[in-house]
Amino acid sequence: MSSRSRRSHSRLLPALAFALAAAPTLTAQSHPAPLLPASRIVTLRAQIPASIAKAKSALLDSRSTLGLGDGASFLAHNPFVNAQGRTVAHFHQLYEGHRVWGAEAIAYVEAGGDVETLTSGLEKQVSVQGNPKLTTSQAIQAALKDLEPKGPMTAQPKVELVAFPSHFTGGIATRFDPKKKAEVVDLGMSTWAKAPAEPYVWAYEVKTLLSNNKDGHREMSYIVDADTGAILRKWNALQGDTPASGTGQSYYRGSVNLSTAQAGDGTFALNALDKGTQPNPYVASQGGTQLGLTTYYAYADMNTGMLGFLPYAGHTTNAWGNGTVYPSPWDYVNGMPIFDYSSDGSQAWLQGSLTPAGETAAVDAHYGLSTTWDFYKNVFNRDGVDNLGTSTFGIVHDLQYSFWSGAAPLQDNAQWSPWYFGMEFGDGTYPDLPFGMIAVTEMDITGHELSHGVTEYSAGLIYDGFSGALNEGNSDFFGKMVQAYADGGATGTTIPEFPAGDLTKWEVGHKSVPSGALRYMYKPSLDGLSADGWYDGIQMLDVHFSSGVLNRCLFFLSQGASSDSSNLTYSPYLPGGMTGLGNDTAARIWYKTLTEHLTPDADFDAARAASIQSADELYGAGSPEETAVMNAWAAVNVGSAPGQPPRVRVSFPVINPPGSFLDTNAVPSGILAKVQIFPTRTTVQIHCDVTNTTNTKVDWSLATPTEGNQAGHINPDGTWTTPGWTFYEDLIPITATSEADPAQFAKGRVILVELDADTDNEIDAVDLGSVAMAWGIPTAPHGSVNITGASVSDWDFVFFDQAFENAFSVQ
Amino acid sequence: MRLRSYASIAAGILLPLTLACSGSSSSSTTAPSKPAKTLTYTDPAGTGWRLVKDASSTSTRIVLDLVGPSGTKTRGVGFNLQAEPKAKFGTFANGLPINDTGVYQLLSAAADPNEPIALVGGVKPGNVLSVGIYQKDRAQPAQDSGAPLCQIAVELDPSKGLESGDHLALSVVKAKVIPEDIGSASDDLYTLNQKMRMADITIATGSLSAK
Ligand SMILES: [Zn+2]
Repeated sequence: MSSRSRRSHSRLLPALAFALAAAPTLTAQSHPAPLLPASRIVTLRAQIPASIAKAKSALLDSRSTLGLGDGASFLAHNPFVNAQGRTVAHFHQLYEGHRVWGAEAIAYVEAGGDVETLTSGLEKQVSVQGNPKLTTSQAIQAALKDLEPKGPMTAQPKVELVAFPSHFTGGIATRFDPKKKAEVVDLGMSTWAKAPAEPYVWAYEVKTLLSNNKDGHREMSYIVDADTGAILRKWNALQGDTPASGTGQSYYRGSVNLSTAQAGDGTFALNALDKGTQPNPYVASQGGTQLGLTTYYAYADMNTGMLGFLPYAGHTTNAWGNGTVYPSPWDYVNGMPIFDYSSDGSQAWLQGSLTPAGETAAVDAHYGLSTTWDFYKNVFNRDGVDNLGTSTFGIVHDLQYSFWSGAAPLQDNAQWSPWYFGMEFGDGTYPDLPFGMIAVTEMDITGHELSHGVTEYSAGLIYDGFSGALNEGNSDFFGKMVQAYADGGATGTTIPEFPAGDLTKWEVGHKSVPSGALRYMYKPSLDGLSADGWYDGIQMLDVHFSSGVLNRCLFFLSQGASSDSSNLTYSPYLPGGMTGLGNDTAARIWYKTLTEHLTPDADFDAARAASIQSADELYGAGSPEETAVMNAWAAVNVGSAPGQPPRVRVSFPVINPPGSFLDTNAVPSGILAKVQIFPTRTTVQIHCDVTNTTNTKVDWSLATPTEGNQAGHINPDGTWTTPGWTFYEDLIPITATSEADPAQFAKGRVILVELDADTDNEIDAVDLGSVAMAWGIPTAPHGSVNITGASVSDWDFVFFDQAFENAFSVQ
Repeated sequence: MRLRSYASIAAGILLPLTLACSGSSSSSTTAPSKPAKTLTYTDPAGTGWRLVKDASSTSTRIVLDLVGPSGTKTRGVGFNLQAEPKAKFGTFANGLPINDTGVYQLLSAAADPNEPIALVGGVKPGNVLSVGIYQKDRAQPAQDSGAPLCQIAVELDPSKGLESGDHLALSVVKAKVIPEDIGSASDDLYTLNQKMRMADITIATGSLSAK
């Protein structure tokens, strides 16, 4: 079980395998399900509770075939009726009434009553020993100990007892280091706990909210072992986008119409009452009321130090903004933001937030989010983020935490906040920083952020690894579709095309990043980091760069691929090119994939199979649309195009197989499967596998992530004498490129460790004795015994053993 | 075919020369380059640190126990053993060239069977076996060293061209133990620095030969 799905590139969702295998052999096009009249849909909606009950009983009936006991049950969330009259319901898996973390099924109830289920995302054979020992308040204490809040908590943490699959246990986390332009080990986000021995344990999911001038806005979530209090996994729930990076006068879109509200005194507010019928839950929790999509600006409470937000309200003319924006007002001499204060000095906000230029970013955000809401409503009949009409909001001129000054502006970033059920937008650092952004409120970015919310309330894609890449790519794509919808007048039920051949329309943040763009969907590698296609080792990339696979796939699906190898839209994986289906068709196939066929842990293969399934349902098996979906995935090196022979594959062997310490203790599980740990100053042998060709030769290359420290070179036979330096954070990338097909390559990662713990200038097994002596001592007197760089723990033995055995294995 | 006959001739010429130089026993007259079929090991004398033959040894796989002096308490031991290139070090069920005999308490007091332990082994260039087995939890008592503390193995490898009568030199080139007193976590750093040091030992080896 622990090995399932995300690390296996060849895995297919069992329930979808039939569609995938059978489709190419069909000669005649089968008929897709017809659209039903609106009146019939209304009737079916009214029957959702009955449909859920039916789907649930089908799932309950299949428990024994799924290897689940009588204690297993299912809890529906986010059900909806699609245009063909199918009721789609996502189900949390329950064990003895508690959610099994990360495990979901999807059930389909057809208009005619037939029920089908997708169960590949469930955990099988779930059994948890004993009862939770910790109380909820002890679990909160354990989480807060790790969180180390500097200011007051904004809200009581939310706690839920869950059955936690141990294979999701976190450990080493990686992050993108913009200075090194590489992935490095993230010590701050790593959890140094060992995975429990049992496959499932009781644990508490603890969600925290901090929003004050010492911590900024943070939403850390934790899994706390209910037996030991150990942190088994932690993650930042905010889905930010830093790594890449009335009438209103907007900055990005000129004069726009805004949906606003008029108060009893005749003044106006940036509050779209037609978008959102249910109150925003966070504003309600703070004692306020927000109905309808609303735009706020950030402030700091000078008495309590808490960060908050205030409405753009009390406006007398309802004409907002002046079409100009300004960068975050920052005092570079004193290293502080420049604030305006309320008349009594109790509140401070970024200087200029309420001036006409300060309103401009609010106009862009309000218009962008309003259009995104209308896009989902009109094109997909989706009632907002959760399809239930819950009101959302955007905060502009957002404030974050700075070590120096307490509150600081959110800069080249925007993010979706699950706790707020809302979004935040930074002011950008341009032109103070030449590669920075202008206000982070461009249409495709507002569409991107709200789409993170849509994903959370549909497929629920876990925000790391392959599923994180799908989550990001999905947001980029729908951000672009919102932009196309707006460009076409923001009305109607279809998505228009961009001007033919204008690739800048497929650049994320084309206008807000004067030095280029955040991402290039037509050729993601133009940013120097993103992937143009799948390769072995891509899961080590930050999700904003591995998303390049889905970005380019959906670009091809919509716009086609060139057969001219000099064209930016050419793919070596589909040299003949392909014709695109256009925005509207591509978006319908993908929306159906997201909302009906993806489970939280989906990978690229699952996404391919699911999107083929969607094309079949919309346009029929064997349809040109289905073929286009297969071609678009083939063009990003996922699966083969119809009639294409098997591809050459280059891959690094699995060093840390499922169940091994370094597999089960990594975030995401499997990310270290192929990471090799070697000692410094030692000649080691690198291996890789090449299949589907007789010429198995590869060309090696070795990148040096740390400036000034050269890693040497790998000989043609794969031997490599490792350098004499070590810096534990660095993951050294090794690329093996097939000589038979140079478009096929694999990227391995290496961690170098210094094993000479007793500093006698010899690396041997005796060194481990010095490490063992220091186990559990917070401050070891001999610094060289710290193999992993932290105080000596079990990790040091694992790293020592791995490095030693990788270098000196018995032949 | 031609190459093969040349090789036979060459062997035929060399054979008398080898015999002429050798003052060896009568058995070598019939099979002077007879491939070895078994390994034998004679234990070293003395009661100090030594490698002695374990009863589980077979005719082609010699298992050696590391035994120390009775009454000396230690928390772990590591050593480097150099062998002739024709000697092949074997592995155990754990996949390593060192086997735990259960004397040292490798798990912490928590005794989670899945927790990582300080047990490591490999073969370095020059056919140097490098192995170590250590207690990590200082709350575990030091152990009397007069019992087999760990095992290693030497195997007959037909591909190495070992011949009957070959003597395989073994020598321990480095060996250290973790002593009983390694200070306490509550000691000051200076005291800990002085006490957290491994102690040199000398390990005697016996005589290994092929037949
Ligand atoms: Zn994002």
